[in-house]
Amino acid sequence: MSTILYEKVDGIGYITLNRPEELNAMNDEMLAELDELLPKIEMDLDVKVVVFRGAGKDFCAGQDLTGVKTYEVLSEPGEHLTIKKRMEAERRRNRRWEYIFNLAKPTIAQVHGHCLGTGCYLSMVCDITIAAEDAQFGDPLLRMGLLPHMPLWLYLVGIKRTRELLLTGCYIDGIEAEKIGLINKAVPRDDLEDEVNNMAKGIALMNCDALAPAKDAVNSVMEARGLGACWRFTNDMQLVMQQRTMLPEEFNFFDVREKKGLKAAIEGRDAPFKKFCEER
Amino acid sequence: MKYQNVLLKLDGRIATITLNRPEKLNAINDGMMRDLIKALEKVRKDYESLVVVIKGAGSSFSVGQDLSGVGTDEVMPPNPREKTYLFDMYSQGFKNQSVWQYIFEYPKITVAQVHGYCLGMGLDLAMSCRAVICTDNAVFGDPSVRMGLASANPLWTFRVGLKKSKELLLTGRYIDGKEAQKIGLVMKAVPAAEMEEAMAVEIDAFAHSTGIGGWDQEGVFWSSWMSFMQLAGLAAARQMTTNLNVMSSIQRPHRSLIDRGGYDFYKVREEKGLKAAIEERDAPFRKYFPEPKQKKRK
Amino acid sequence: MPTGFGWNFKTQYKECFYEHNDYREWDFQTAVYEKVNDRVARITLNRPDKRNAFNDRMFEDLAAAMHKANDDPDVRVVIIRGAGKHFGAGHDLSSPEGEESPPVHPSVNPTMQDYYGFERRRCYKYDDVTDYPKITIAQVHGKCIGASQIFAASCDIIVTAEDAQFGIRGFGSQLHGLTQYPLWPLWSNKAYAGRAITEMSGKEAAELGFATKSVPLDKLEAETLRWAQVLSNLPSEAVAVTKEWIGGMQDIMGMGGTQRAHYHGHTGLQYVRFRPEEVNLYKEKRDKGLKGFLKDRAETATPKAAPKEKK
Repeated sequence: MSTILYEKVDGIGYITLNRPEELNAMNDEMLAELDELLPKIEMDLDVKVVVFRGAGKDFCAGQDLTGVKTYEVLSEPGEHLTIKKRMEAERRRNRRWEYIFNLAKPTIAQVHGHCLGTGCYLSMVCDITIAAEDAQFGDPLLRMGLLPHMPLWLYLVGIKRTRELLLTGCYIDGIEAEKIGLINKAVPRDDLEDEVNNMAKGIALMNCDALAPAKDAVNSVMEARGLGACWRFTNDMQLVMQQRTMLPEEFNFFDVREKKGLKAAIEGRDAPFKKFCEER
Repeated sequence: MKYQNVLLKLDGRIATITLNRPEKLNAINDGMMRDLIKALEKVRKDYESLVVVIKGAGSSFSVGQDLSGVGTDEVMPPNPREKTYLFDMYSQGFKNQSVWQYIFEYPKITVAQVHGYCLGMGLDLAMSCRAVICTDNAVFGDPSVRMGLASANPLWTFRVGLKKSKELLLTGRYIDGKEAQKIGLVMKAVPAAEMEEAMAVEIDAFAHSTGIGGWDQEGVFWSSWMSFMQLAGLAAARQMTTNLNVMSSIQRPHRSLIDRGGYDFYKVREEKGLKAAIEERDAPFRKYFPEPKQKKRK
Repeated sequence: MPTGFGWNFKTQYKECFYEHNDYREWDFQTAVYEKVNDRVARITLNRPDKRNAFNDRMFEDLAAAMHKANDDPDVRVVIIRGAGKHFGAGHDLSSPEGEESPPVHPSVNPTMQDYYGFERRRCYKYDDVTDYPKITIAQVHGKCIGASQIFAASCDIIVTAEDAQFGIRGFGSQLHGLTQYPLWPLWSNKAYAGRAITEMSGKEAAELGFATKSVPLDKLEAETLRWAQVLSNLPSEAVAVTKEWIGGMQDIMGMGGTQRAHYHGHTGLQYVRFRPEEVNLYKEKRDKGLKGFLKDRAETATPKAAPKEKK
């Protein structure tokens, strides 16, 4: 395993996203390793609680946007795929989040640095998120003409803040994230690891058979509140989004990436919003 | 009105129901549940009463289900060591479900006045009221998971959101009134000395808070709000949490993974008594989740 | 269009004017439509002497303006604001006979069928705003109560003056599920914000997540334009799909029933009997006029002991 590291300590399973030079951006390789690891952890009765964290300076900056070996995170425009294939692709991409949300063990996201896009989604599907005060949470997908495909936005922060954050794509820090209900707790960066370990150890005192139904009870309520339908609806709307017309005067992320490279594409994407978000 | 386990006072627009087993910190047993419902029915049919305050006699609101094992066939799941039929557990579960839904959809304005401990089923009761006002050093929590039980209360995510619900239900930790206010579990947390005045102001506001159509329209409005809740999945949610609560309670200690971190509450209570059982349940967690300062529990 | 106090109903199949209107060559009598720039349209509700209370004409003007903005291919963002001192005071309860805006007097004694038609028309028009495919920003100052509050809640973004007033005692807060989850349904503990009176300032509204941003009144217009400007950079089709997605999820979460439950509440007004000590809506309006009724309502909805905390 290279892009995912795993260690088991005192009943706690630590999963480390390990592409620090790329800010732990998610690509096919990382997700394949995760897909293989998670069912094994779920069956391991000696693991009571799972911690997700990131190597290096960030938790996870989201999808790898290079377009190279990133089929699992991004559908590229110009793909010649049938509707059926597209549907299957979206379902597989999103089911991963649903699976982690429903993992039969409690999950804790330990967030520092950037936590954006699908990185933010990972922290949202974890049961408990503890972050550094200066961590940066955000979802800039709409700027690239992509659907911000995480239904938990509405459940966690409500209608007004969901619309605000998804339309502006602005980042918020850990303190604001705690205030609006996106995360459980923001702590000084130096205290982050201890806080998470403390939470994990406390939970690890209990046996799996107590923790699993306790978690399932809350997830069942969410299912009843429409989350199950929302996962499916989200897949369908991603298909609709793929049919969008890109007007010539609008910023075209994929076009700019092809002509000028990824860095220019990201800068071009963020430029119109930079000042606004700084002064927000 | 003479009830054994609650006191009822009618006073114009304001009715007050006081949980009245102060020597047991108002632990809820079958008798108290029955008396509470009887009192609520009396208030429901009283023309004058518009607001119902529910509070606790003595030093606490309520420490939750009576864990003594005596007179608790309805409010507590049976001891897993007894040979109970699963069917009977579900039968009681369905009944309990309808009781809690009754409290939640109660047509008059329910306000929980909380001081001291408000734990487990006591917290479920407070949460089922329309508003909660507490002292800033009140203690809230649901330690069900520490006893291997999933909570049957579907209201958590509606009241405090998904993240905080998971945190509090997976750790079973206790929080004080200040933190409860911060996360939206209660409307207001005030110093104990200011409690009486704060309650008077807010209850007075509730008693004058109708819409354009007056009190006669309250039933229509409340029915609409309850429709919202049902549309938002409340009935299904309650069904499923009740189901999981029964399921979690059917696990027998020798089948559960006691060796991998587990705690046989019933065994310890049998061998060392109730007080010891509660202490052994909570002690290991204090290192990780310090409890808010409170008088020593009896 | 008949209804209002002391009116005769016909049937529920009355043609709904604002569903069939044509905005081309529209004569905007009670609203102003302008384009701030290519991409930003601004609609000003314009009955300042009536605190921008909605009469039938203003509902029609608003709908026509929104249709116009939607069909303009350049427009990305629509701002809605009120002329004069307020955003809007809700339905115009003083509307003359012949109008649908005030509540229906029970003496009209409509059949259930007639009444349903009326209430559906009354309540479903907010959905046009909730489902609007372009970005909507409500610019709120002064009073934002009743129907006006529902319109603001239906917009994507609310930029508000700090001292604006959302909701009013005696009438409550018209959130109807169109807001932040912990506040919905009303009476979740965070909504009380420390007191049981359902009024909140713009500042409080932003704190609670009901409004997006609050600023001092003198900065309100510039701040709203700032938001409109930055959001007009988003790809238009992607915005339409994303809004449809969020709106769809809101329906799934149960908020699709919001307006239906809303009109159920109104229907009750046909059958209520006021207690002797209560402010009787119909009697008061008859005897003391609208102003007298509103004053007495607010007084009786005020607790005897005034809350100590500042707003």
